[in-house]
Amino acid sequence: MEYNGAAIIAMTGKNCVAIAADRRYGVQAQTVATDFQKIFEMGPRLFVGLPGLATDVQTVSQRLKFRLNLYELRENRRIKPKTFMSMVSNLLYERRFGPYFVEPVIAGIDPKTSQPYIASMDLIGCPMVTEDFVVSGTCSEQMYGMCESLWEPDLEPDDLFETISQALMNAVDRDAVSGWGGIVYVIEKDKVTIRELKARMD
Amino acid sequence: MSSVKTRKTSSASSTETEDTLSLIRKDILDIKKSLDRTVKNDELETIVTKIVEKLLKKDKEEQQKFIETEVEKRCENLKELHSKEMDKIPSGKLVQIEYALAAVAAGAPSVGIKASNGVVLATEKKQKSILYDENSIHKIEMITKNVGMVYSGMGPDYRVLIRSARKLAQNYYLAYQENIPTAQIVHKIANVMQEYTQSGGVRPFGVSLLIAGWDDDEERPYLYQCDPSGAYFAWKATAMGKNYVNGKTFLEKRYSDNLELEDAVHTAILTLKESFEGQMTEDNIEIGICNKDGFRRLSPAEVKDYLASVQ
Amino acid sequence: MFIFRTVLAIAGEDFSVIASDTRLSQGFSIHSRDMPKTYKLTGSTVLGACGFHGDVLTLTKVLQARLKIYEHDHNEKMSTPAIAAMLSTMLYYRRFFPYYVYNIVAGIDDQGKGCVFSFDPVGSYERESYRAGGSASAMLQPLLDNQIGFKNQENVTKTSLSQEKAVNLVKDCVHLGSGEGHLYW
Repeated sequence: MEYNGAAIIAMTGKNCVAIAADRRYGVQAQTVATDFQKIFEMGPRLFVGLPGLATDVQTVSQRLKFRLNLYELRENRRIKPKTFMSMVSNLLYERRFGPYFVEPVIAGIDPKTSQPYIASMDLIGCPMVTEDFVVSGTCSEQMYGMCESLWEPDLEPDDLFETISQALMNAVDRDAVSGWGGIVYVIEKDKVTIRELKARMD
Repeated sequence: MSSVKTRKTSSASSTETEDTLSLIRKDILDIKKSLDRTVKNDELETIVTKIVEKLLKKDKEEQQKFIETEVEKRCENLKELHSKEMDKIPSGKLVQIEYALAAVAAGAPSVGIKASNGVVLATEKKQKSILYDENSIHKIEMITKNVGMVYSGMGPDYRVLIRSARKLAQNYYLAYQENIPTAQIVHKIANVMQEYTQSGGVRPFGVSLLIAGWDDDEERPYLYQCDPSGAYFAWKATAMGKNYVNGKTFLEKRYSDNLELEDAVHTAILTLKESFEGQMTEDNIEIGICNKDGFRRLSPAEVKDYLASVQ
Repeated sequence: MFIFRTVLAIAGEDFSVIASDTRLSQGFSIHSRDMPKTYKLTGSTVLGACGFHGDVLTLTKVLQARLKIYEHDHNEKMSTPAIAAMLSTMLYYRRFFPYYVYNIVAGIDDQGKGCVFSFDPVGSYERESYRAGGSASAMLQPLLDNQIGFKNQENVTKTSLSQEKAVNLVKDCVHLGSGEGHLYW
């Protein structure tokens, strides 16, 4: 988990959710790239963030997409965030004794009910579904501290963006292996806004 | 054994032929001697050769015929040995499935009707003796909270299907923490049934299924039929088992799209009644309903109430 | 080993705030919910110490003795920066068998300005305008960076901290840290 470094947060707002991640790809203390993808689109209103070992991040995202595509073809419908969470959980638990080193964060809006949904998971798939926010990555304590004090219920999309961005940026600035830019997805019923954060690069 | 017989026969016939030939030769010589100048030598020779050839040919034909019948017999034996998977007949019909369908058509009738707010399944459950306890073994069974099914055909085969259907449904729940949609469980059951038409050491199921389900997501009912071949159909209403043709004709007349579940139960009972021999009671039919609250089998008391309102 | 969790301090223009949680725990068990780890050293200096409770007790005892000696010698209270300097030497004295204590000293300096000094267990120290210490520091420090240091904020006028805001923030922080707290200002 600490080999490459990462920070991901998901938060709920009023009829919206947001998911944010840092963009650093590093090998221990050495930063290699600052445009690394850690959030993956799993549907028009569904995203998964994968902090952890970079190779597992990519493998897990690809295997999830594989299972998801088969599911959606088989059932001829969009997956619900809750169902997707089970899918991720199962994928991880199948490797109970040789796990993928990722601790996923899921953020989405139910395609039918438009209910916001966020969840996080440990590396063997134990899920945690919350109403407010979830964090995952090398600076989870810092992120918890930020979220716990900045978050409030029923934030509008723009306020939610501000909250999650501040939470992420101030958290990663106290972590040596995450940061170097950030990216935020604000998911609403009928649109997804993607913004890149200008953050300190040192 | 038969091959040995064939060889023996053929060798015997060849010595026989040689004997006949020499006899004929002898005869010819006699004729030659007595009729020395009357018949031209060559002429006679040709005639005789023709006779001999004819004789030989006849013999050969007989041999060939014998061999052919023998081969055919052996093929039959082989076929019997491999009968389970070797019965593809050039007509394009898989007879084992035909047999299974025949078993279904001879089975107790079942009816399924989809209403606007639910589905009903009904079936005949006539017992051969009054000593049977009618309320211990059921033909209508639940698969998950919101899906149930009934069969026409062979009871024991049905039990196997119920078991695998429930297991498949729970596997789905385990994977997705969500009840399996009706269409999905039907697909999975049909897969099992198809496998049994193509696997070694097994035969197709002697049952057709009616599967009733409520889709919580789409908030609508579903009614499917699943055949031994693995083919499945979505129905508004249908009948299976004995007299199913009459049942379907009856339903065609009675069905309407805005039918409510209560009316559908009545129609189902009436459909069964079409071909029912003897008095219909709460103990010799079974009814299951499926709506937004899930699937359940009606208690004998409830069935009795319905019967009373139908009669 | 009995462990204290959180201390934090903020320096304002003419005041400083220091607070701690009041929980004493060992591993996952809680020994006390009412045990402050802030120690009033003089009229203008408070020490916040977290870490191993035994070392905290010894350190504060020695520290208080040294302050009394100083007071007798010089007939005045020691200033906050002086206390910080002395604490640093006391900690370094035990460089190879350190006090397992994370210290934060808050008070008023010679010019009457609020001041905060933070220490590592072997005496490295620094004057700062805010600092969180203890095991909850990872949660609190980024929040202080943001709210007091105005980090990652654009187009804000960096106004000096009011006493009211500081106290409220510290209260929030302590609740965030463990839920039980104790506060000096």
